[in-house]
Amino acid sequence: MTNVTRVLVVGGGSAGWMAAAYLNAALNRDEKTADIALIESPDVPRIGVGEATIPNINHILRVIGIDEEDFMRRVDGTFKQSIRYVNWLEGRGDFYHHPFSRYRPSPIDTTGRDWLMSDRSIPFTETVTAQTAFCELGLSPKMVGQWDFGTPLSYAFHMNALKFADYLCEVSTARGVTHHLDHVVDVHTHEDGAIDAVSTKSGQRLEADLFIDCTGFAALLMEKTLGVDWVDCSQWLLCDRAITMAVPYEHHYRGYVRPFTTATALSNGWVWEIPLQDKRSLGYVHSSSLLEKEDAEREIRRFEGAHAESLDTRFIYFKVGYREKAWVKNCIAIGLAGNFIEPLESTGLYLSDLATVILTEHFPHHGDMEALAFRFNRVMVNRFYEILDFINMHYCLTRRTDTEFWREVQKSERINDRLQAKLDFWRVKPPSPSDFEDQFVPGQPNRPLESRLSGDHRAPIDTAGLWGYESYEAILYGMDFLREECDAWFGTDRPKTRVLPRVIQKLQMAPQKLVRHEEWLHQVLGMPRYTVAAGARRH
Amino acid sequence: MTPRRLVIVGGGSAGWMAAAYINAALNRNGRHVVDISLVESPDVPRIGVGEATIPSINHILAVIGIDELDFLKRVEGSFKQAIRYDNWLDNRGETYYHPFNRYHESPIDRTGERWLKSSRSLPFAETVSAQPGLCEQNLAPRMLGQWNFGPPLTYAYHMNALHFADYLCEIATARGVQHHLDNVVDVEQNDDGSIAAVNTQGGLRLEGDLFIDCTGFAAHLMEKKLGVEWVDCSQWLLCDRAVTLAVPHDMHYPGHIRPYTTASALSNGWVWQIPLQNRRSLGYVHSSAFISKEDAEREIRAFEGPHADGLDTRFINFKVGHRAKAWVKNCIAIGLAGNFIEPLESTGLYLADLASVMLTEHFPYGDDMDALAFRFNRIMANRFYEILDFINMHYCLTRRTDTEFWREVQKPERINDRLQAKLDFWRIKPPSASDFEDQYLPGQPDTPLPDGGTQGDHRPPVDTADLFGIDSYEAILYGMDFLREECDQWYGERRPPTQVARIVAERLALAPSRLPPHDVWLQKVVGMRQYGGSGKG
Repeated sequence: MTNVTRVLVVGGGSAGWMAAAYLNAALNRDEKTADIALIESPDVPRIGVGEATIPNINHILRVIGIDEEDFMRRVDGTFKQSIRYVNWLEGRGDFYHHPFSRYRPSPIDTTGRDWLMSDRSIPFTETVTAQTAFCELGLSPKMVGQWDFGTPLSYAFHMNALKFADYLCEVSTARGVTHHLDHVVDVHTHEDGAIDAVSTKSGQRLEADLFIDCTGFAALLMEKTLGVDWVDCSQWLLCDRAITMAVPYEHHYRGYVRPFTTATALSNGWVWEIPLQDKRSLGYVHSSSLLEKEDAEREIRRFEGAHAESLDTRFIYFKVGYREKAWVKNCIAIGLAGNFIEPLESTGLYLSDLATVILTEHFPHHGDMEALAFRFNRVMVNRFYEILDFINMHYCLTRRTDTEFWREVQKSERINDRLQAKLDFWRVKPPSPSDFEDQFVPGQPNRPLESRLSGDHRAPIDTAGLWGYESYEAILYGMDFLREECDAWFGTDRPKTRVLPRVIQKLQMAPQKLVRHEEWLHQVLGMPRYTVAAGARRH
Repeated sequence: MTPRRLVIVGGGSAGWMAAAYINAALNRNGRHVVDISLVESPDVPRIGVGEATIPSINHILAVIGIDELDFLKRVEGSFKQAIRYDNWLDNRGETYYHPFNRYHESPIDRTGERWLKSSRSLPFAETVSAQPGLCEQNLAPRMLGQWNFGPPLTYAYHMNALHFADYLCEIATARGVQHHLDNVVDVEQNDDGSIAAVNTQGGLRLEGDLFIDCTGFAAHLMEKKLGVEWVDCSQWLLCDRAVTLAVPHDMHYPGHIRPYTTASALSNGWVWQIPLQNRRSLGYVHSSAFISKEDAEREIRAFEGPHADGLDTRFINFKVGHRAKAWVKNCIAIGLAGNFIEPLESTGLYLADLASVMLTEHFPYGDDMDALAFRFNRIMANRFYEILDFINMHYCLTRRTDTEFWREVQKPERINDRLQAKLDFWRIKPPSASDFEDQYLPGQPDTPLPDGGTQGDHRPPVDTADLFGIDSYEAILYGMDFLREECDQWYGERRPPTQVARIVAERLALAPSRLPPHDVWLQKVVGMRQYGGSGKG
């Protein structure tokens, strides 16, 4: 019947193991259609920090067939309901949330326009979702018992990415994925340029029909063997380095585990705070051309407080951009070998998981790969630029002028043309759902992508595969967008902002339904009760 | 804020839907942002036949605030759960459904793939939706009492479009829309070419900030005044005429009301059957280049049977295409003045309702309209070509060779390049969800739209699957036996028998105890008369 296609995943970080586990689960469900092996070097240290996800991770877990509670136990996981952005607008303690759930009134959602026509005295997301308040109250998005609190809340997870990779390794090898702990020393190509096999230090020759390059920025197959170029996008996102730190709860526990990711703007970038069950993971993402290593280290320690003095720090380097084509011949780059965007919206793991999902849909069961690669590359490029522009927007709307970094990110050459066209359009008409059906708004360029490779170079199209009007409204209005325009359009004497009645009801019922996040983790998963540090700020 | 003045010229279902919807959508929450007046000629006969809709109509009704039962009573309405396509593939009595509802597997929907890997012994739609089975049993999509039959069934309506316009007129005027029954004799322009006012035979001068041209194919404002060209698309859809017929239930009642629209392929096109509460409406959509009026009339009468001999027929001429720009200056064409695609997927009213919804989203609160028009035109063009290609697909996959018409529709020059690229791609990889995120597939052209003398955006339209996604494509493609040979090659000729999704089988088994026959529901709930059955089953 169906051919069995041999797949070799080269590299075993979270991208590699997610690809192996997902492809194995998705392709060998009704019948075996793919033989999957993964080779990873015992020598290469994995990049792994506390990692925040977005709700599509739930699709991955379901397809692989992973039990949520088991997963959370194994990866030190906690819930994430939102990203809280602190000090992005003015650097004076201002903050806003980008929550995963929001209420969508029917038959027309005019909540954005209603807010704009009001005096904006309540932050926008608080008017359309109770999740923002649940976050501020530190509540879990799940009940301890059976859920009976209406529409479920959307959530994702914080987790230890190394443990996630180990867990996926265990799950997939138990189900038939072959695991080679060995070092790739050579890559053999066919006359037509496709890859035939890799040979390893221990003398093995591993052949396959399809190769997945998960070797990170090194891109052993895609760059070193196939010579596929990297397209640099650092013009629009300046940060290229992070300094990370972990604060074990045994060392310093504040008395709560936040059910959201915090992204606090600092002098030359921003710091993530990702709470796990045993520690908080922090990372100061910054631009190496504008901030010295020593200054970055000093700043993150000061941010965390006096107890951070003795903790280790580690620098991570990265580059924003993508492989010109993520699928060339019979090789597909997934993870850092394929693309990277800084983690402000937690899209790192998402881009890997998307590549895996789209590869499953476009799996070359019958050999012929060209048309499949064309389409795979198109979807990946669309999504890459969608995310790039969205994150670009988080920076360029700032009013901070306290450092060169913040002055720089507002300059017109730092704002992508596609994004600029959207912002200009929204200054004529506030964002509404149909703006998101394609990205062609007035003034938007339609230049093809530059390329030396054959294939599709048409301009990418933002199809809102990930960020629709709800996410845009959260960021735009969180960043006080259209303040002057609203005064001009609707006058300065406007009615008070109102919260949707449904949101108020939900908030009133919450204390009887939802427990605090750390309490849920303790009761359901057995997270230890840590001693609260003396002088810790209460939430 | 001073209310904007909106003048709608023309009062068919497009005009009244625009008036009622825009009024309800913008003048809400105590705000009055737009003054609407509608001028319609007392002399121009409205084009109105029995009309089938798609589920988006429910959004329009909800926004205007129309009670469903009241609506059904007023427009002689009945339910529509699917379109049934007869004789499109081989003309041997074969049938397939395009239902509004279907079941999806989670977390990955493999129902299409699994059907392809099976013996294909059951039609695809029947394996994933109970609706074809419900339709065959003529069951209503609603229960008589409180609904307790799982997820609701999606449906739209069949209705009398003239009654619908009258009903919307009554609602809109009661809520402040000004109604002028008068003939427009002159259109005044400002220096910049925008429209300043229309003057009527009765001596009225209606000034406006914004004008909507709902004058049908005549396009009095858009074409006659602003000179905006029509982009002809008849290369891909050959039909340009219909001959219609109404069969009152009084005269001939088949004994049931079908809860679906039927589209039966004939010698040179297809005939619609739209059941209303008091009659069935029929229309033979055909190509005037391939069949004479006399032959078309003879064929529709023969199709209906001997009792049709005494019934009146009427011819309607139409042209497939769209205005180069539907919004130019301060004038927007909605309805036939803006675009037309033949009614095979019941998208006529949809395109008019979409234009009203998009105009509401892009409503010009100030005089700067260029950016809004640019974007409105983009969305309308996207959607127009999405529908055009989808309907094009219904024809070109036929295996019929019995007439020149059916041989012609299979020729490469009758298949849009965008559609051809999709079909080629799907012969390599069967359709799957992400194919629908944009239409750029290998080999697809990137040619701009003709400019029609207008400025603005002429970039190629992008199919964003806003209306017809994978569900709809699979229904038509597999209904038309697509990938038969490819499946033999990929999966071998001996394949396991096709299976119906368990949830679908369970629903069908329970249906007769929950859902009443469609005519019984209409009689009991909206007071449809009881008719005596007269034969034909």
